[in-house]
Formats: sequence, C-alpha cells, structure tokens
Amino acid sequence: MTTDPELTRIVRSWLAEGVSDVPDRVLDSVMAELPATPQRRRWLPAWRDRSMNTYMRFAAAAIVVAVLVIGGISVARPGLIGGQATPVTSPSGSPTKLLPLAPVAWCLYQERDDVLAAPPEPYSGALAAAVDRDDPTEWRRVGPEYLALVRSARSALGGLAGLAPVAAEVTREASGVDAWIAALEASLAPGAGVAEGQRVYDAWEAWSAARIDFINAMRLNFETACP
Amino acid sequence: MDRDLVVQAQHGDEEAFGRLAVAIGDRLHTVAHRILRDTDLAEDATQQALLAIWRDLPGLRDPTRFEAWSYRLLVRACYGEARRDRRWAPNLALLPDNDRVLSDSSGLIVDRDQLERGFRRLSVDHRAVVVLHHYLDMSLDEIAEALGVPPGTVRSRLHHAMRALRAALDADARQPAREVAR
Repeated sequence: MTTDPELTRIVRSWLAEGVSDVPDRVLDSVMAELPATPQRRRWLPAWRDRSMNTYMRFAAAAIVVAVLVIGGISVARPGLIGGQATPVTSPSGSPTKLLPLAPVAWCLYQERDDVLAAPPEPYSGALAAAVDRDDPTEWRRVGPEYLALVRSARSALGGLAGLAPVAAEVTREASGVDAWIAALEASLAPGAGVAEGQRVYDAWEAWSAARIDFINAMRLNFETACP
Repeated sequence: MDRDLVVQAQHGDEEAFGRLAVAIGDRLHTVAHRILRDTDLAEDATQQALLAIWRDLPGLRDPTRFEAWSYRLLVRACYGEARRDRRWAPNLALLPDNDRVLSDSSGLIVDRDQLERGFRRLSVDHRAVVVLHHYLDMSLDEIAEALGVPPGTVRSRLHHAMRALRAALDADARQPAREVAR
C-alpha cells in the first residue's frame, strides 16, 4: 500500500474536528429502552470465535445443511425418513408438491456479525446475506449462470421467502424474490444493460461464491458449493 | 474499560450498563458522526449501537475485547442508518468563510468541501476503516479484529479509500484551472 503522508495529515486533521459529546437525550433514551430490550442469552457461538477454522466452519455448515435437507425431505415426504414413504394428498385432492433436493449443496455459511440483512432463522444456516469484503474493482460481471444459481437456491430453500425484504430494499423496486429474480433476468438478458446502481459480479472462477453489488455499494454475498 | 462493569452488564445489570454507556457513549458518537457525516444519523446510530450492545452483550465471550466489539456493533448501526436514510443528502451547514479551509501543521490548505465530497462518495465500509485508522489510531490488525474481516481486506479498503480521497482532492484542485481555460 502506498502511503501519502500529506494526505494522511490532511485527513487526520479533518477528522479531529467536529462533534464529540453524545447528547444526554441519546443516553436517556437508551436507558429508557433497556427494560423493553431483553438480552440475548448465549446459545450461538460467541462473537469473534477466531479459533474456528475454515474446516470447522465447513463442517458446521455441512451439518446445518444436512439438517435442513433432511428436515425438508421429512416435511415433504413424511415417512420417508425412518420408515416407508406414504403418498400425501393435499386437501384439494392434488398430490402435494415435493420439495426438490438442492441441485447444488448450500453448504457454506459463515456466521458474520456484519451481516447487512440476515435472513430469518429457518434459512440462516444455509444462506447468508453478508457484506462482501473484497475490493469490487477486481470483480467481473457474471453471466446467466448466476441466475440459475439463484433460482436453484430459491427452489431448494423454499423460495428464500425471508430474503424478500432484502430484495425489496436492495433493488428498491422489487417487492420480493420473484421480482428480484425478474430484475436479474432482465439485467442478464442478451443485450440488456445493467440497471443503474445494480451490477452483478462473480468474484470467483469456480462457482463457489456469487456476489451482488447493489446501490450505494451495498452488496449481498451468496456463497455456495461444497469444498 | 472496566472489565467488571462489562461482566455485570453481561448479567443484566442495567445500572452497570448505564455506567458503561456513559463511558463509551461519547466515543461511539464521535466515530458515528465521522462515518456518517450527519448529526441526526450519528445520534440514531449511537443509540442503536448501545441498545445492540446491551442486547448482545451476553454473547461476548471475552469482556476485555469489549471496546473492539462495540465498534463492530457501531459500524453495523451506521450501515443501518445509512441504509434506512437513503437520502444521504449533503449535510449542509453554513460555515464562516474562514472555516472553509483547513490548514494543517505543514501549512497545507485544503478545502473542507473537497474532503467532505470525496469522503461522502465512499461506502460505509471504506469510511469506517478510514475513521478507525486515522481517527482512533487503530492498527489494521485491530480494525480487522474489530470488524471481523481479514487484515488484507482492511488494507485494501484503506488503500482504496485514501486513493479515492486523493483523487477527489486532486480533481477539485484541477477544476478551477479548467474553468479558467474555458
């Protein structure tokens, strides 16, 4: 990294100016809200467990995915696990649609406290929406394969319903995952220009990660594929 | 930071947390203001961060790392405020003419507006690294630890941010020359 002592001096001098004291009303407001703000008891790994190496993360994530897949199968096909599958009929009389197995295994989930918008609990073990940390200047635009990846994830994980608010927010106009995917389709169509403020990139040669850079440099990071 | 205070607050002691909040409030607010460049947003971010600290404190395994951990929650709150308030409008303030320029010990004079504009173009990610490093004097490793990202990413982000600030200053510096040339 090149250094620029002159710029460093300027920036430091500039940052040294400005407000410092927090107004009392902020602290008063915080204290007033404490009784209505329950503390989260520790049941997840505590913050910054750096001792958890990559392999352990993969292993933990694989277990989570296995539970999800098995749970999904058991929901879709009661009796298949631990017994013989029995046909299920919906109230309307048509066969219940079986949940498809994931064409790709969503096996990497890295617990990150800097999650931009976390999916709700049912999906949090399988799909993360996290702020990407790499330099976007090195990213490359992805092709329609990415769309297929998102679709497969959507199919495998029950529609990613929990990500609907995220999609609505990052795409501004999209009201849910379906609209979001439609926007992706439009942006990835041959000859289509990418919407302003919405760029889709792939930072990895192998499809082990797909990253979406949205408005205001906010990015969602979908990681997939088993090691 | 008083470790005992942190531990007491971890166990739900509101009075202890109140003392913690007083102890760290100014610093959190200062950092938030420098990242967000907006007084209202900074106050909201500080409030949200303090509540998040209270809520998540039981999950902090090592109380001695409280301060770094609190910065992580603060930066996250800054993300939230920036996202919630999409306007990110220029924080207009009337400054006396003699406040418009910034002079450092080397005698260099820089237009505050140039710096402000350049900084506002940065993402919250990049702003946070600049503030933590150049305002709080945190090392890159400490920032990486606090934000939970690899040191290389912090280095890259700082480099990118400083390069962008330099470009902003240089571009604005060239502007009058171009206007004269017209």
